Amino acid sequence: MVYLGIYGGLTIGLLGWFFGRQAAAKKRGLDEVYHYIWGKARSTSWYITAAAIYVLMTLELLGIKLNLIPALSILLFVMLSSWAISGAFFSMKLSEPSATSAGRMSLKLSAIIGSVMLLLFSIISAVTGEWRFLLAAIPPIALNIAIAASLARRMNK
Amino acid sequence: MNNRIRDLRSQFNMTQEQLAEAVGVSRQSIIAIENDRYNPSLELAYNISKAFQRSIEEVFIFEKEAE
Repeated sequence: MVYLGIYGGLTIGLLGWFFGRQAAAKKRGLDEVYHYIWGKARSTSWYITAAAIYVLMTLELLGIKLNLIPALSILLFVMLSSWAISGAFFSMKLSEPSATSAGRMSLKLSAIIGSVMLLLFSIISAVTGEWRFLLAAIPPIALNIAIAASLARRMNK
Repeated sequence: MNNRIRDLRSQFNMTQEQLAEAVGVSRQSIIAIENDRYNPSLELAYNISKAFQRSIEEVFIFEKEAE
């Protein structure tokens, strides 16, 4: 069952990626803007994954034990999902008619990401009965607030 | 960097999709460039200018961003 999850997920992911690229190529979608968006998304996902590694190490220091495979699964999930979300976000941002509306969209997205993170860590804390998981929400939420504040300052200029 | 793509498109009676096809990119890329959300590469800027039979300087206007 575990093998089915690991290799089945990989196969479905690769097939989705392959057919997605084929469909995009038909509409001339694999152009320089596509490479710019997804390169930037990959770079963003690396920052988020680095933050997740730091969070996992902090949890270890706080005495919460995580086995290798669950820890790697969390990191893989964080990396792939943040890559996909930031790619979709940058695509939408580039389609916005002005810098102000793009900034507004970024602010809305920041608020949604912050709320989702708080909710996610609250659920993990409730399920595991370990309140210290809430501490792990502090770095990403703080980073999110800093980004939102910077965007708001830029929009007011 | 500003550009005159929208004006030139209407002069040439050309849709975003038609321009995208002429220069070999997606319509989304033309929208992003037209709205000043993305600065094209030199090659793409050249191709867009060529589609309008203009020089790059006539289509793209370089303006230094405010500090």
